[in-house]
Amino acid sequence: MLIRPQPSDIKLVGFQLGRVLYVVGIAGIIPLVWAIIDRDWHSASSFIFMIGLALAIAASVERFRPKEEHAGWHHGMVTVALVWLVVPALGAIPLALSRHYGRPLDAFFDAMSGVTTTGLALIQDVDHLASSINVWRSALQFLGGQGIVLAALMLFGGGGVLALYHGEARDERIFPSVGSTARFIWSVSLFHAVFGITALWAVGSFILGFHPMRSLLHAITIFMSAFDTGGFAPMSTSIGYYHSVTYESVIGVLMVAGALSFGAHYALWRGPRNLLRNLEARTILTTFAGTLVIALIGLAATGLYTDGLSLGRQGFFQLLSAHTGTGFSTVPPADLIRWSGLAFGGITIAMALGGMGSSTAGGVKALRIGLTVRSLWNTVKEALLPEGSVISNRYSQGSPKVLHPELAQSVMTISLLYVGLYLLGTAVGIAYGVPLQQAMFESVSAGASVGLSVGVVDPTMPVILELVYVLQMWIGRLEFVAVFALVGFVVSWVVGE
Amino acid sequence: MILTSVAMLLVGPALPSAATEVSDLLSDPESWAGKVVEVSGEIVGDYGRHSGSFWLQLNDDAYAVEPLLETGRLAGSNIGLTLRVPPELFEEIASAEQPGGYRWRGPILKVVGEYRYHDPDRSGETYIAVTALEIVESGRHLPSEATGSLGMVGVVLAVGAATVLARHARQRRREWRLED
Repeated sequence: MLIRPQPSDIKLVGFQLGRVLYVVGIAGIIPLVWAIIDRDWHSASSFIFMIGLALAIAASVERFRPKEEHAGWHHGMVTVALVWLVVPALGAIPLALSRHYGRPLDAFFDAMSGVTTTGLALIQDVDHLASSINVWRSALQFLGGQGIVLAALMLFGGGGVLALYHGEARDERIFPSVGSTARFIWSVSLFHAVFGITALWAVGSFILGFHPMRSLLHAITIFMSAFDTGGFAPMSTSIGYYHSVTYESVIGVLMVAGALSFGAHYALWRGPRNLLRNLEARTILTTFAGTLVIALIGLAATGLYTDGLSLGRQGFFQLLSAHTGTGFSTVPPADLIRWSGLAFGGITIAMALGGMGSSTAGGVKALRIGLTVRSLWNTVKEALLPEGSVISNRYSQGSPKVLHPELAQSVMTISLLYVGLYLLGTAVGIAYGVPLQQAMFESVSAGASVGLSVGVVDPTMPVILELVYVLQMWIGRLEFVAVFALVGFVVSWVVGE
Repeated sequence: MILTSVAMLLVGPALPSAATEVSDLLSDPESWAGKVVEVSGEIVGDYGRHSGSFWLQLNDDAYAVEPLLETGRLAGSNIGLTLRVPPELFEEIASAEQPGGYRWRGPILKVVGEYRYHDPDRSGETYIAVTALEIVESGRHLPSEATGSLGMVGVVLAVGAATVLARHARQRRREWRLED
């Protein structure tokens, strides 16, 4: 029997949601200031409207503040799932008002793509877009990548912290408390922000010869998109716009930093050896090397690049972008579509696998892959070795851990759910007449929060396909659990007693 | 329409093929690779200078002809390609024109050059190595209308939110005092 949620449950979820909306209101001040400096009153108005609406909704649920916060696991999960629907809806307002979208759903699609750090885009004429809107698109990725709820936790604290934290697909706590872990995550991000923006600005100004102010715009937007493995770029030609190995190298470092879990950042800080002992780090190095070899062999076979240096540079960047879940590209979609055969396979597998757990990258995640392989290997050994043989089921992940059957089952279930998610978008794409290869590429890109595109995501795409990609981005980013909790909450509300 | 001829400096023996569109180059690059092409379009973004050349993005999409801010008509994504321009050809554009962006339609250029697809000398980059160019139309400001009313609604909502919050804060303080 399902138990119908009490009004107090709904009020608590509403109150927690309101707290997060304050963060959206505060975040909107950054592009607002940019618009005012630019004397861009149209964009400024749209940001003021969004900020006002976010604060008004947040204030209106303030009366639901409980006397004692007794938020449970399900409250946190439901809140997170709702946050990741409401925030894109609010974030889409300035986008929709920018006149660069054909329909409001397209603006919502881009906002969802932003907060889930996917990077697929339906914006039109981005090359004439207001700078402040470009900053907002990247800020959405930064906000989503860092964790909107995490930001709210830092600002407000409160009950149900652990559920909210896990709801955003973060499994690890680096420090004993969620608060100190949140502060560590934001400190790491701040460090990379200073490094990334300075490096990109310097390369833009002194090597590429851009105007210093324009270089700053590129640096800020690209940093936020690269470190949070988002993929929105201020120009339509993505990273191919810069024609610079140096710029690509800085972006590469930021993409890798973004795809590392914050636990890995902590381990690196203590010494690289600590990191290399981790099953997750070993797995991601192996899968990256494997998919890179596959992609490069495939790319060489296509004959698109006639020399090793070209092959290496273009293949490496695209593969790194795919595996880290960023979605930046140095080649246009029309060119990427020619990466057929093994090259296509390598890139698609890299996208599907994704980065490390508790990072801003999407996909199945390296730890789940590592644990699945370890579990399967143990099963094979059990079958081959004499009865009674002792098989080690220990692995290292920060500290020595044991691979219990329950854990193995859990990671395999999530991995299978990802496969199902990728198949869903592929099937709908095929139903609309998209060739299998392209349908699969785009579906994996959406479900794994990557953002590389072969052109299926387009302003003229069917609404149903667009909605399916939105669903994939939402579910893929939250790694299923919070979404299932929301569905359960709604079902209990409707049919529960 | 202001027409400003800047230069027609054909370098090398190759003659340009018929005028083409960037979308043709992108959809069938291999058949155009190494050929001299003529394309027209709007210069957008930045004037980058490195590797002894200037680097520009030329868009020959619908927005180059009918800017979005003027017509309000959406016509899909941008279609652009990079130009690599030698300094002697670039000087006169830079002195007079800024590239296109928000509220600014960049200059429309007609360029002739070799289409270098996956150029091994640039580790696989694709661009047109420009040998001649002409400014067909100067850049110009685009109209932008501010929607002040929406901003006012936002201000009213924010003030309302602040009032509600202040009231709740007062109420909580009162409750704490009563509890003490």
